[in-house]
Amino acid sequence: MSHPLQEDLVAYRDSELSASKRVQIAAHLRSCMACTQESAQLGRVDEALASLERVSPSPDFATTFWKRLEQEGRREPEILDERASRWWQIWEVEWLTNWQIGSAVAAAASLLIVISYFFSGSFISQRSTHLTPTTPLGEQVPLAGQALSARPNIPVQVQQEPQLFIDYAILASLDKFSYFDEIPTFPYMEGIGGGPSGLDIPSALREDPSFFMHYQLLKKMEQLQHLESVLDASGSGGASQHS
Amino acid sequence: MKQKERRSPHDDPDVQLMLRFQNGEEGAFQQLFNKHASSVVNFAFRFLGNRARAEEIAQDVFLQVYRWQERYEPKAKFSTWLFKIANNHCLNEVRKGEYRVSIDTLDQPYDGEDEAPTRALPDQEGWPGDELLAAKETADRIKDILSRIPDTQRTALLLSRLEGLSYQEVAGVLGCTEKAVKSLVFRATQSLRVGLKDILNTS
Repeated sequence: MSHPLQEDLVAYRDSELSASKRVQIAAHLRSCMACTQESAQLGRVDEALASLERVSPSPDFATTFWKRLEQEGRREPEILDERASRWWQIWEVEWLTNWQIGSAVAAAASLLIVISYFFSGSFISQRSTHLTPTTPLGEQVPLAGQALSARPNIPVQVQQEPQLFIDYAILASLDKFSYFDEIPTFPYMEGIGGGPSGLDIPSALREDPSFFMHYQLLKKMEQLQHLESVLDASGSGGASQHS
Repeated sequence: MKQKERRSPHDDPDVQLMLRFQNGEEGAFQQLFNKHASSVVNFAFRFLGNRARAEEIAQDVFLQVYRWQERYEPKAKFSTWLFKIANNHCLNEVRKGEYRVSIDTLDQPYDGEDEAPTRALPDQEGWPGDELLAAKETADRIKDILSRIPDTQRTALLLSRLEGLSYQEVAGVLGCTEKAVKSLVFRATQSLRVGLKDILNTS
């Protein structure tokens, strides 16, 4: 066996390799002085790290905690809407940390502005006459408006702007997700909403790379700190394709 | 391999405790607090380098766990979920920009109000003075390196090496793949190796 990658050697020492790879590396170490020395050096790093002092919580740590719990911990945040609250708290715990909340709000606001612009009609009048979605291969995608025209409860503007409708479906379904990673696997891939009343998305449209443009924007939220960054992200992420 | 087998979160006794807490058993939460408080304090302390703040962060983490009582759904081991919250709080703290991660050296006085913290260098009392100094220098150097490496590398290293989480669990905390964790731990180890080169070569 050739010398193992250093990364594998570290993982080997952490007992994080598959059994077969462990056997291979163990055999190699028995016959290779250079790798044995390398492993020993990594061992010294481990020892140095392990020598870091381990602190014990201060004597009043628990008392202070239970006092805080009594004063503030049992109080639930105000709930305006249970479903919105649940979604928000999932974000708070799983995704958004305090510094990100501002940027998330800013991103949502900018998203709403973009969507409002779509609904204004001026955008549609400028675009619907000359823009036809295409697949990555450049093939024309049938407008969802054509496929959806039989459904009278869908606003005309939405029918004429399939991308908007898809993005709207994502936004309208946000409370169904626990993690951003669930968005691409959500049942609306099989039809918006996924339920009996779900609306079909043309298969070619699903292949449209901008299908998840807002997903990209949402993914970036956690990295953004300023509104300018949000706008930059929407520019590169695809939201500004509409403007 | 370390806890490599994919088990259901429900097999985790701590998840069971959390579910008992969800059913109204306050004592179950107390058990979780007693069991994990020290680990969370240590993680936060090593992440932030500030002991007093680390304790506040640890309390914030458990407050959040408490508030999650009704909505908790076991999707991973309890420790994975707990450290995910802890990591988010630590990242918050660092990114607030109100202070930089500082080096809380052994000879700095404890900034809490009560008695000095209990520190535990192995067999510290019996060490000759020069060995104690060398240990202190190594510890300070490591803390300095930890404060300079990227957050994700620091989290991966601290959780896998010092809190005993598997790469799989660390991946759950960071929301990345095990392969990515492997790379993060490797790069953090390399940074330590380079930064401690002279110390390691003389030991």
